[in-house]
Amino acid sequence: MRAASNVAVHISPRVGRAIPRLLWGLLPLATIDVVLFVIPMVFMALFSFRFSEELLGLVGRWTVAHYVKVFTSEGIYLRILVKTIVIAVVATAACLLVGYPFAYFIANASRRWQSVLLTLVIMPFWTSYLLRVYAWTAILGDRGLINEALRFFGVTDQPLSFLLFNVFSEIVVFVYLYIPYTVLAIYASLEKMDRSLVLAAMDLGATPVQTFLRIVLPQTLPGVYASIVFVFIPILGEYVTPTLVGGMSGVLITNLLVNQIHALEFGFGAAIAFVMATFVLMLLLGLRRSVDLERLYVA
Amino acid sequence: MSPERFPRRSPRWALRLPRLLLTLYGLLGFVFLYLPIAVLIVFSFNSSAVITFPLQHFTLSWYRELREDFVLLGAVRNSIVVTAVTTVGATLVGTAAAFPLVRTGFRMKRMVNLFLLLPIVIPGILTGIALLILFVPVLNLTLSLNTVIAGQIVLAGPFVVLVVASRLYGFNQQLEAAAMDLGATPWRTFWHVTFPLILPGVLAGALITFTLTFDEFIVTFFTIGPESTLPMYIWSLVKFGVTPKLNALASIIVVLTLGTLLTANSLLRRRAR
Repeated sequence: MRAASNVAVHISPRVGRAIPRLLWGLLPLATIDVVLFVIPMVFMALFSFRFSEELLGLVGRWTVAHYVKVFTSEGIYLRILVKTIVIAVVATAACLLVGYPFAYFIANASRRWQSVLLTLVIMPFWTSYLLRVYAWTAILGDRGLINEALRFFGVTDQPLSFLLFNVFSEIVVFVYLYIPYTVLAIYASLEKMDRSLVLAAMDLGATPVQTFLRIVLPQTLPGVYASIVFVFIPILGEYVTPTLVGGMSGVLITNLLVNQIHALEFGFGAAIAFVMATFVLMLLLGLRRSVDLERLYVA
Repeated sequence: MSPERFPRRSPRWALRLPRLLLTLYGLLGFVFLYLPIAVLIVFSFNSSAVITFPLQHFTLSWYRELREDFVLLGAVRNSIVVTAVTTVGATLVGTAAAFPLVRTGFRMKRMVNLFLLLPIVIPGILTGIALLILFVPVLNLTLSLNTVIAGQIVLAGPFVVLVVASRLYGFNQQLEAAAMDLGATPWRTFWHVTFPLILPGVLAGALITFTLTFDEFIVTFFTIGPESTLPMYIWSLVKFGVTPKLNALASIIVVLTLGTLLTANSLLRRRAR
């Protein structure tokens, strides 16, 4: 021990000099982020306040007309924006409800099995995202897996057409795509939980429900907050899922946004995108203290 | 404490039932996660041209069709170029940024952290549109694979930071102290002590970047010109109807990505021991 502390004292001047040099390492990534992330966002914000007949260049006059259109034009943009948020809330809640027992199942397995099960949870996430969404049309469609199975067992004679191309299939696919994040986040907080508190609660006569609500759930709230960042926010930006499985009734704000961009309505498109970005940023700042992003490094 | 506070001994099956139900639930969960992939693989060997049940005959013709699809082969080639350049760039830049984030304390470190991670938290559709606005109406650039690479590096950099930083947290800095104490220059210490120890983490970061970039759709969607990458090619097919060779393609992608991931996993494990 003494020797170790001597070494530390001995080398500290060198380490002290190394610190400012290390900070240079941040420079390339920070430059890339400023040039290709911050500056584009700033231009997007500027474009959202510009009205111009020209396609190219930041010319024309300042206006808030695009925002007036987002928040009033017969309510369609505002209505779809609210609908998108509601669907994202429902899908996130479904992820938490379905994912919590699943994480509990993994946390209760033996050590050896835990790492295998966790790998299995992450794996689908790494295979083609587009094709995994598309595969659901073969499961939920009129002649898909579920309808053919129901007909085979004689449960139905007409295919159930409410399974695909609506809000229902949209939410099913959202849950499918994002549940691995929920499971991992809740598993991580279950792992850190002090199990002796659970035994103590049961020992003192608490029912399982009481134990869960008052001991387990509060300790796993960080996992719930992390789910909001890694499930709710990405769902708000989902374009592929509503396009491939949402049908007409499943149109979300991203569909309207992409339509504007394809029509080269950069000003109006930028206004929709900027409203979304502001909402996401405010959410992130609000959760800043609840979700320790630094902890991601250790995970 | 009175004796009746202790519950009466339940029969064995009653004790096991919650565990059994939990296991059953877990199995159902895995069915849910793997069903779409299983469906794609099964249909890749099915002779019918539409993905509907019941199954027809076994065939390998969809795999044969892939081999003759020159549009697909061109898209794969573009994807490999984009992914390779992005992986090298993001790995260098991300590794360099991970050191100060783990090893030094400075004012505003939390804010810098949040700022550097923003591109992976902000939905890609917003990043993509912001880049498109910068590239086209502002700079009047021609969209190409270069603009795609620019967008991909922004997304991939933070992932490398995360993976390399998690390795650096477990790093025993006394090893470096010992090398310097024995007279090694900082440069020599880095190449002979630090670099070999973090190499598995850097390689794992590179492999994860490779997998993510190879599959990236939404930012590419806004930053690409007339060329095509693999996800753009897949999009063009799934959007306008069903072609069964996609199932064969999906099966190949599943096998390849799983191989890459298992390699990354074993690299990370070797470091962790």
